[in-house]
Amino acid sequence: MQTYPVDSEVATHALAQKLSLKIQKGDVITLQGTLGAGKTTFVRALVEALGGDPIQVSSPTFSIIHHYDALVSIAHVDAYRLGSEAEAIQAGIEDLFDGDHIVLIEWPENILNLIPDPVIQIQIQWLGEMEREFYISGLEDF
Amino acid sequence: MILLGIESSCDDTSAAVSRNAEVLSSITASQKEHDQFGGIVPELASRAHDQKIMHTVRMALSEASVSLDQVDAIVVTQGPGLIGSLLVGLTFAKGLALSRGLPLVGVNHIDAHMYAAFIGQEEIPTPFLSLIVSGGHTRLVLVQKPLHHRLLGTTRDDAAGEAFDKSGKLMGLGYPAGPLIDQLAQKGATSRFEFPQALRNEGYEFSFSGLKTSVRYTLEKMTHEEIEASIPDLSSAVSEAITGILIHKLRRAISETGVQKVVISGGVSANSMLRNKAESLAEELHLDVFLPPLKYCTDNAGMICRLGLLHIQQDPTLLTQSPELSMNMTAYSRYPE
Repeated sequence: MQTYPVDSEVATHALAQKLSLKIQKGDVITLQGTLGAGKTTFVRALVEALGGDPIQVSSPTFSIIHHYDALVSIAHVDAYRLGSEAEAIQAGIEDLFDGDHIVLIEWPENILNLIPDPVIQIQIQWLGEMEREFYISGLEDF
Repeated sequence: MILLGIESSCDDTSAAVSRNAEVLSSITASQKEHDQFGGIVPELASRAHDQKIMHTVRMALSEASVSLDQVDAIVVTQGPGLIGSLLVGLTFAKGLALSRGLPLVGVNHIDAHMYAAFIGQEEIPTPFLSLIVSGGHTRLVLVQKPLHHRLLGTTRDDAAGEAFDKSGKLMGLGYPAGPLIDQLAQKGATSRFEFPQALRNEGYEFSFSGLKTSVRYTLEKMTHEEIEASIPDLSSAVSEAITGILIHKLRRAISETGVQKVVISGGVSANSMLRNKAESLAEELHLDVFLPPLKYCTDNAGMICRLGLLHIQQDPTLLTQSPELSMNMTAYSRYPE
């Protein structure tokens, strides 16, 4: 596991850029962190780093799954409102693990058994208004 | 013309009967099952819709004293919303249309919110500016004439209602906390805390995720007791930040387009601070502001009927189309831009 301190938007983009070079179609990335930690903000930076328009990215809390166009197809999942795995299956989450997308999952703790191995885990630790620490595991040479 | 409307896009099952622009009945069955989970749970939502839809439709017909034989067409929500929930309403509507030989008209739930303000009113006074604010959507739209919409701006991250709900969650008020924050805010002072209004100087886009971060940062610096004692003031400051930026962008749109009529709708349009600010703005700029009655602010099928009527008026062939043609109508989760 590697630790990356981030204290600005520029640093967030730099980290997203670095990560974007290491991931590909079929990868599953989970994002953990409390409300306001910056999960959706990091997804936006990552979509931009992957060649997509960041404007497409918004919180999927309401509709559970968003799809974005980039150099690879990206699925953005938010399990915040999901109470069980049955509900996640109903929302169509399983279909995303077909190897055709990069799948980014916020609040994965709600649907852990549905998420296939291996995954790249990102934990965002809140330190202050702008300061965050990113813990990234599941990637070699990163 | 008599229409039967069916709406099941999120947590409520709703059916309504309208005669022309008038809504004769609008019945909504809320999903009490959600409360214990602190939010809308999609699987529960679709299962509960399944159980309630037949009963809700029957009640709507009976309250309107209308029989199915008198209905000229069925109007149903196609999206945006939760696919599982939408499909329950859509499939039911298709079945009913096919078995009764009735035409089926599919409508957009978010667009229907815009026209909720014109329930009971034949004429749609265009052009108007429309601010749609709910738990899942925040859109500022210029309506040049009925069904001619130009999107001015939407949210880059969280919806306005989501910003209320998540700020409330951070404050320990449960989820979703929008209506509770509104009540508490009325007892608080807006000036003690100040939360950011993002993108104030830029166009028509909104961003509410920074507000969440700012609320959190403020709370981190306070003790549990201080937070408890400050809930009304915090609620008031959160409401001020959200409604302040909504009104600010609306003011910009009025000034730049010269359009003097405004419609504010969606669940957040029930928020009292937003309503007060809209009234003040109307007085100051001599605007005509249309707010739907509270019962048509949240999700309801009355507005589905109202929008369905507009579609039929614009394209009367919808009424003669065979129900078989509408069988391939699909549900969609996101607003089709």
